[in-house]
Amino acid sequence: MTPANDRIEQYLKRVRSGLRGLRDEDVTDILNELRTHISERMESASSADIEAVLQSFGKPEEIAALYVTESLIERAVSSRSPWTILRTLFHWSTLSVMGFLVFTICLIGYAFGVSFFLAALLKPINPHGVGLWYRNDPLDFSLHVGGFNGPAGTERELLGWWLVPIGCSLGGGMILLTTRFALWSLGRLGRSRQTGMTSATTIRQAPADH
Amino acid sequence: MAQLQEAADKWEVQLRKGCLELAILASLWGGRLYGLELLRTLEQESDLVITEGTVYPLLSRLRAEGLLDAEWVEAELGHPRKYYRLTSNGRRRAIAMARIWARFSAKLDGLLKPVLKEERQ
Repeated sequence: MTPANDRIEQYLKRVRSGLRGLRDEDVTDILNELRTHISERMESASSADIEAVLQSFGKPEEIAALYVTESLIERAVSSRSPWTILRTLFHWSTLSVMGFLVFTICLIGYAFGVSFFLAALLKPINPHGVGLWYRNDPLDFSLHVGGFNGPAGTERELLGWWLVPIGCSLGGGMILLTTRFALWSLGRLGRSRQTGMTSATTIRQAPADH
Repeated sequence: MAQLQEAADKWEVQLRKGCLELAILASLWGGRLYGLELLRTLEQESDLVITEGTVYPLLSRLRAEGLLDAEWVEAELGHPRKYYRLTSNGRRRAIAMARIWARFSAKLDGLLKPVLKEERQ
């Protein structure tokens, strides 16, 4: 193996480590395509300087990030599973402030949704420990799940067994709403992808011939 | 003055970015191309100079959207290459975008005529 080949493989290794989360066959395909391009550039240049070729090829991390974003958005939108959506949003959150905001909102939304569901689920198991309690202070509502030693004298349980259907529908609604919001944000992101959600410069300044 | 130039340069980069998808679809109108060929075509025919590696994720997206097809072709000499071609949806998208572009740029040209005349004087 020549030193130039070594350098190419080293470069592709950095791309590969950025491609985590993609299917193995896609990763192989991508790396093969990039390898072909770089090798061909090396062969066609009269004075083949591998560093110059790699520099005009772009930063490996940025290229990998572009691939991952494309593929994750596509998968999140087609799967609609909250787990895939959250993973995509997490990836987005590492790239931009807007991504971070959307990720945080959705994380809170899903957490609330799951809590309501859990409360509904745990009510039959621990009927006295789970409920919506009301203290004398009109602003202090609290939803207790497990580990609570029953109502103290000043507290009153409001929903009783109604917690089960209300928790289920509120939890389901919350999860559904969060998912819709996430997909809507990802859709908008998808449409703006071209103008660059990562800092990757796709276009360089045109050669100054005008 | 330098600041004015910088702002104009930024605008130019954004404008080119916006046209990249149309330029890629148009480059493939005449038949299949592999990545490096496509980059050369863009550079020669449209002044679009791309950081080379970033064209591949873009091609991969156009493929996922069903606008392009890709296949590996063994070369007699050298490396196997991945060729891209327009699908029928890709052709339709290219036509639609080209129409919008032609209509818009014709109008804008009219608007720009007096501006450019002033500059020449």
